[in-house]
Amino acid sequence: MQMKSLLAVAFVAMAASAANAQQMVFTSWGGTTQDAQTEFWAAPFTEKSGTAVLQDGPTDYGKIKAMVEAGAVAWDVVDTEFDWALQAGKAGLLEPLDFGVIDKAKLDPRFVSDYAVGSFYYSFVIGFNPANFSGEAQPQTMADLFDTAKFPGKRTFYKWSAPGVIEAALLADGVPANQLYPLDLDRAFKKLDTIKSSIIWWEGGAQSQQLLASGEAPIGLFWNGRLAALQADGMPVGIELAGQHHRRRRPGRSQGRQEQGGRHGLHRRGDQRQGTGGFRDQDRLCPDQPRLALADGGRSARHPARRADRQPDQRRHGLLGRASR
Amino acid sequence: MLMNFDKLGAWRWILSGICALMALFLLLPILFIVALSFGNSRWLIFPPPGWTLKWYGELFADPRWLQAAFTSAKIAAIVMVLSVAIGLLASLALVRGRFRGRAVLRGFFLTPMVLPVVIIAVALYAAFLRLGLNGTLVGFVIAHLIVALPFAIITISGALETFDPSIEDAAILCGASPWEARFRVTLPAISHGLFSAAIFSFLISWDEVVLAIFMASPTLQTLPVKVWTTLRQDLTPVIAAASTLLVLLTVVLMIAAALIRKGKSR
Amino acid sequence: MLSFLTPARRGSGLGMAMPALLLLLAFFVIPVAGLLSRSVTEPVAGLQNYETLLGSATYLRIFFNTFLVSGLVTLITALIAFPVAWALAIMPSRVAAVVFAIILLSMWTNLLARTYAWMVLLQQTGLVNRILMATGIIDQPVQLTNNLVGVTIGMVYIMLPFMILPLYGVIKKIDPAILQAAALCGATKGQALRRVLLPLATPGIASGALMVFVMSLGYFVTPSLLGGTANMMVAELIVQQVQSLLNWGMGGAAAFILLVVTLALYALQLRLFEGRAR
Repeated sequence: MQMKSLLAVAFVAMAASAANAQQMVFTSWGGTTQDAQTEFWAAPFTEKSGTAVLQDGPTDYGKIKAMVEAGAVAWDVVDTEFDWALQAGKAGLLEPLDFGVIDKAKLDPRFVSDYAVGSFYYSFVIGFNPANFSGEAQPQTMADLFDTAKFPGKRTFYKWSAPGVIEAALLADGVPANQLYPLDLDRAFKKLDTIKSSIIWWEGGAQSQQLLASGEAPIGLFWNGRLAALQADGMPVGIELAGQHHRRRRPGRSQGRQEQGGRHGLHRRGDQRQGTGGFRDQDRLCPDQPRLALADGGRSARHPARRADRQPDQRRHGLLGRASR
Repeated sequence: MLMNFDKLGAWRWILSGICALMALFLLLPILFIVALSFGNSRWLIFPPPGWTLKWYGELFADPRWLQAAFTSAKIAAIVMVLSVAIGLLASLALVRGRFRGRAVLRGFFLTPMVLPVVIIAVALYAAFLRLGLNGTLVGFVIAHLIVALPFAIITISGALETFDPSIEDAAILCGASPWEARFRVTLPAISHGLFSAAIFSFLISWDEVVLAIFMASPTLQTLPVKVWTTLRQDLTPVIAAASTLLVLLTVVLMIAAALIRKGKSR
Repeated sequence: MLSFLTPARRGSGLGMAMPALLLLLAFFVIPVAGLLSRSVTEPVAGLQNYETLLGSATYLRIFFNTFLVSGLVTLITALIAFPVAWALAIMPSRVAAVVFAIILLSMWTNLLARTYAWMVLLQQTGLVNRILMATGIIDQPVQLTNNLVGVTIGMVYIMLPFMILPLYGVIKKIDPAILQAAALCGATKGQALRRVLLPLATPGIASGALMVFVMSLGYFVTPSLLGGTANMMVAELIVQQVQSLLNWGMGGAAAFILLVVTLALYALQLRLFEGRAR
């Protein structure tokens, strides 16, 4: 009896993967981000094209590599970080996008590569727990993040460096924002060494929120969406957007059309601009400036703290084609 | 004197004190998690500003939690049956068999127990990619079977070693066939061993995280995987609510086991 | 205890071992061997992965962390487990039953649930820090998570039952008359403890300690949830190399080193165990 049911299930699973033509798998980072992506990207796409979108996650670069190597690729479109997508494209892990289908004109040219295109923007912002800095001056600049005398306590940074903590260290060390690149890594690490014992690295959005809310690390560099979520939940959180690059660029245009490189030559078309707009509405606090929170000399403007019911993470994100077989 | 509690004198209080402290240490997180699940602070502030049932509401409103629990139970049940069956055969071979290298084989059978699960998980993941078994029920069952089997073998062969096979011979003398003797005499005699092996196997699979993280897919994930991803991504007190229910389940199972034992001893 | 009716033919019984043997060969030995072989073939053939691992202070610190935490966890569990197991062996059985129930409850409570509880308990504003401050032991919160202190506490919690239970079995079997004899010969309690009880319990302590140490070496869940990124242990390194950095070669090499240490200790344990059985 047991054996029989096992075999039956295995057969169904294989049959399902053979029937891939009518569905595709979208993989993202989970949480509220993926909920919003499901609602505003996948659902409208399914409605238009009739192709079901299965959600998987979280994105796992090791899994992608393993799947490609084994020739058993289960993911069609994956939400990744852009820097990873650039490397992975070169490494042959991704399939080239068909720009005969994707309209490049609608994309931010800085985030278009052969293998991935940008889909939304997010910022790293300084967040702090006001309970820990009541009365005193509140942290405002990157330099304050590195000033443990003025703002004592642990500070927290995203554990992956690109981009964020390196830039933050350099800005704190006095490098002007317009001369950041190429990054002076030695100088950045030297600056980081000055607060080495005070750093707690966060690995996921939830952890960063927890560190801040509990006062474990009363100050740090966070995804703006996660801080907004904290505020929306009634946590007193100070968000300092002081001196970021303010470029009036409308995010959320970058989601293009996606061809799935299937054997059947099936082209999946779907202009998702509308859907992306909805995603953006969900994501009210998405600042207008792209990418990283960068200080640009003294130009400080406190961002209006708009609330959102649901706050997706914002991370740079690439859409990638079906991974190579 | 040292082995007589009443004659320990002052030491008695020291020992009792250490015991009590340790019990408190063991109980603290469990009681805490129950309290946390009723607190209304999203950010795990304790003591919470107020009390609520909303995390339980969210837990039951999200079908993925129930699905994951169902998947876990299904996988654990299959693992339990296979582990006891294969473990019984292997134990018979180890305890009754007459072949060279039995000690080596025994050591080999137990290696998955000592080997770090991480290594098994990464290795199996790579292998299953080639076989297309990741994210399937079969893949889950095989992975959990590998780590459950050693415990089944230890428990069952332990029971077999204390069972005198001459009783089986007696049954054969009385006209039973060797397999009949095994089934009708030996199996009932070692039933407690089989029972423990079954419980061990079930719980190992039910509670297993590391292998499951690697085996899981969007359509198939176990409860620990769901807890793990939620911990990493959302850290919501729904985890505390789910954990509380798991604690409750453990308590119920323990009481049931105690009652069964009591019933038997009468 | 050999059955005389089913005489011992050489090779008999091997067939019954086949299902387990084949299962482990196909889904344990071959995959693990495959992983390990990648450590010398990826990205190119050679030992460069091992050179990197053993030649860099960063990676060596990961191994150091792993051994330090495993050692500490073993030591602390042994220090707690010995008096507890001793007390359990001689306590009135109704009290002992309650303590046993608590041990089993903690053992069977979902691993992630327990670790999650410790994450919250140990944070700066957590209950443990509050209690320590309220009782005046400390005057400002100490950092108990995101470092090796947190990992050690969390792992001691998980490993305690694995030390108490075997130790209890050994102490329970000690004949009280031996200790009575020691008393009759004029030994004080301290002398009896040091010269009689502890030596008699040593096999239990040794096997429990080896088990706890080996389990700690390869532990993944607790270090990754309570340890923080700056304090990695080997299991996390393996997962990170494979999962995030796509470096199967390095992952395989770290796995191989961990495996060698683990198997060596396992062999030692088998030898100790066999030695006792004889």
